Amino acid sequence: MTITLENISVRIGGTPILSGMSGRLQRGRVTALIGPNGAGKTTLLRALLGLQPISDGTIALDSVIASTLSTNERARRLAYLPQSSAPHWNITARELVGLGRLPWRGTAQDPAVTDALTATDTLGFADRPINTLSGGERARVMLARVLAGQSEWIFADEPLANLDPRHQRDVMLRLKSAAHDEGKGVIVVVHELSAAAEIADDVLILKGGRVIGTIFDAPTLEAAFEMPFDLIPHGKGIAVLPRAI
Amino acid sequence: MIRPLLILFTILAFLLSLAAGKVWIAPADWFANSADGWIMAELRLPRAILGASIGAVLGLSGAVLQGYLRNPLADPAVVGISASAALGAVLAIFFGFGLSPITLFGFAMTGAGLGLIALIAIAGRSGGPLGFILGGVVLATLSGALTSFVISIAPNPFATSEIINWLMGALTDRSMADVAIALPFMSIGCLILMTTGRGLDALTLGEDSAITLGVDLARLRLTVIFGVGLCVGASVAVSGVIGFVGLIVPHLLRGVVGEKPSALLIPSALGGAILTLTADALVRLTPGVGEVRLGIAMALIGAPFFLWMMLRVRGRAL
Repeated sequence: MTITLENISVRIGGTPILSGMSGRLQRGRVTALIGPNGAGKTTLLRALLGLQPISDGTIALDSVIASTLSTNERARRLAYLPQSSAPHWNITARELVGLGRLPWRGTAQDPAVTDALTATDTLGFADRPINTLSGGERARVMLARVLAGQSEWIFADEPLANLDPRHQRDVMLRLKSAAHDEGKGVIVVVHELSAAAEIADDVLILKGGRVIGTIFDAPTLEAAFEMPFDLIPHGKGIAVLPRAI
Repeated sequence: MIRPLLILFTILAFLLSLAAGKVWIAPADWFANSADGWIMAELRLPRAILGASIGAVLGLSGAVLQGYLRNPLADPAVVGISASAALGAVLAIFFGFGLSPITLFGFAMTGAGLGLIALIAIAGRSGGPLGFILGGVVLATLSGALTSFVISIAPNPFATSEIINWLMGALTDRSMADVAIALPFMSIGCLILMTTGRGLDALTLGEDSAITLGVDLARLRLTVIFGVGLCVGASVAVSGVIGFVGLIVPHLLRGVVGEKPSALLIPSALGGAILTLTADALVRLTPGVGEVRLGIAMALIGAPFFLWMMLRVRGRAL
């Protein structure tokens, strides 16, 4: 039920991207990866997914070393929602969500596909070509594709980017419910700090390839982004505002 | 659905290819013990079988390559196997083995095989589509230059004309012996290519997503290279270079069956067979003593179509 990182390092072409990172990710919780551009968030995500070889250390999935899993076993357990990018072919939304069933040798006719379309409120345009959908609709279809895989873990890289506030909320709530109601482990890279404060059970604050904090407070954020923030109670959560200097 | 319709058209094109020519042969005379029956058994039938199978493997190879490279402008020629197979065949003619179908085929398949090994050495282990295309360009350029070299040192004008004629691509005067040696290679190539559907679908979302969906990209690349190599190598070995089928057919069908790569494979094979059979029947009907070479006819249709497609793709990108 956990992913354990022990002292992992990643070097790309001699340049250290991640240096001696340790930590523990839990299922049933949303973990937000926060940090400035170039802090190593996406590299960490790719390393956890096995897309980026690590130069040092170990990543263990429950008690199994992740790199010993077969590609397909890993695909069934870990799902990846990459940063928004257009699919290469103009297939229908349902066909796209059906791709999430590939690790299970399934098809777009699987019940899991309809469930995922329903859960993301995209069933209404399931049979439309993806190029005819708006950015918000497409982002939800991409999320549905990941949910259809029925994985234990979801790794999402900036799933809120380019979405309007309403669609950001929809995606956040869906990811939260995947963790809290379905017991998945959700690891999400976010730049929207208020959204991170609202959605995350745990945070890893990264800077320069290291974890510099696991507590969401003003001093840690200031250290990470090299600028001051105000954390203001707002409704049920907190609003994170960059302070004018 | 579209598939039964494509199968129907394939059968009709096959029958047309049997009947059409300088001599029209009505179905009643197909099995007759006469000159017509002889033309049917010795000329038309092998030609129709080759037209159907070569068209099918070219259409299928095109669909697989476009899916793998995620580019609607990809064509079996980009991998350079056709050029290396053609070089093998040209060497066979140069050394005076042009009259024996089996020797010619053996030379061409050897050329294709060496090309395959070179391509795997360049692009097989690592690298994405870019390594694949670069490898293909290197192979095609090298084979093309060597082919020109062989033509330039041909011992006599007859050899030169025979080589050039062969390079144009045609199904004229092929026999059942050609069918018997080419068909096994093409069948194995097709079976290999039919296994790529799942990987091609996953690549719709990009390479990272494909890996996280359980696709072994290195293995997929080898499968594509082998399958296309066998299909295209065998087709070039028996018919010369016939271009544009692999480019046009998947593209046309995308508008009809949708863009999902796996859904395009079988329709592209059928569509390739229909196009090649029909074009080959039409070239036989051209007035005059000879006939327009199939490769030329295909290029005449294909080049303007390619231009139109490029303009359309560019229009969409803007």
